[in-house]
Amino acid sequence: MASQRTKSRTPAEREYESYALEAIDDRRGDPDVLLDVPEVKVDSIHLEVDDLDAHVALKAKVLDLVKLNAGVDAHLGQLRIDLKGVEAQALLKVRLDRVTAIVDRVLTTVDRNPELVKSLGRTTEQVGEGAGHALGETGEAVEDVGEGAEGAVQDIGSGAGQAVDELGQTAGQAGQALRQVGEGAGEAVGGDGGGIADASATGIAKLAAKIVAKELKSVAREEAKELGLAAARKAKEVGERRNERKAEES
Amino acid sequence: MARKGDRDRIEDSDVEIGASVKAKRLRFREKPETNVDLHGELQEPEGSGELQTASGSERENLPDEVEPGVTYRDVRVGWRAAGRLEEPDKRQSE
Repeated sequence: MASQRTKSRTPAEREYESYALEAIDDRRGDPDVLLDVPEVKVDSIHLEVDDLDAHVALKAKVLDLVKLNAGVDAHLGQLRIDLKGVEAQALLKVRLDRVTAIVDRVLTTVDRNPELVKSLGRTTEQVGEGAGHALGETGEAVEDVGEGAEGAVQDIGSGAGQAVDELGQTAGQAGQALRQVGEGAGEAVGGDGGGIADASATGIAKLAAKIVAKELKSVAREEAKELGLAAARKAKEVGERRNERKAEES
Repeated sequence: MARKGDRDRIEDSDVEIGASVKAKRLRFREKPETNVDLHGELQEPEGSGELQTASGSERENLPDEVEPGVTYRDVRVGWRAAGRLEEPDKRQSE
């Protein structure tokens, strides 16, 4: 039985007060999640257990900013017991106020620094990770594909980024060449007006080089973005196909 | 068992699981194999946090190492495991 905090206490909560582990000091009040088996009475139990695993975990995730995981794993390898005149109680409590505070703090950080989300959404790496997460939900095999795709997207993004740098360098070189042409033109004009002609030709060359470099970088960025998105789409398709095949096989 | 006032006791736990059993008679046919693992992690922009954990049991009329085939009478066993998240800023201020 799971119950949420209410103004009037539930029977389970009243029973909880007499719980065997009553020494527990509840400074933070009632838990947000309460799983309570207040009392089980059985005359006789013959219990045999082989490799019983019990997992209880509290997990929370906000974008890729916060990952929270707290839990208990219990393992019973072998158990063979006889009990007579049995009374048993069990309890699970989860409190979310600290988790809420952590999430609230992160959201406040995001609120005050919206560029954080923009930068997360802008990079091709994040596109790849998004594809990986989407695939992760469809199964382990698909997750592997997603990871591969994620790596591919990162590689593509990295390659594209390098291409941008190289294009930028090329543009710089082009600018330098134009500047030299401008300087040459200025020198060719020569005479008394040479200085003025030299200055204006160099200025035009610099401006042209800047514009060319800017255009080249912009085109390259768009290409990189498109490549990342295309890779993410492809990864998702592969994952879906794999998942469909898996469903058909089963 | 980590009780009130114990040094290993977890105050303000975020996750807590416990159980207790009372029995008039209890007999183990084999020596039980048990293992309990508490785990936790917290990653956020300010840094990484940890899970402070504690677990233990209290027993009445039952030894720590039980003997197969022996009948124990008027037995009571309580077990509890608890975990609390240690936030990065709190750890730094401590």
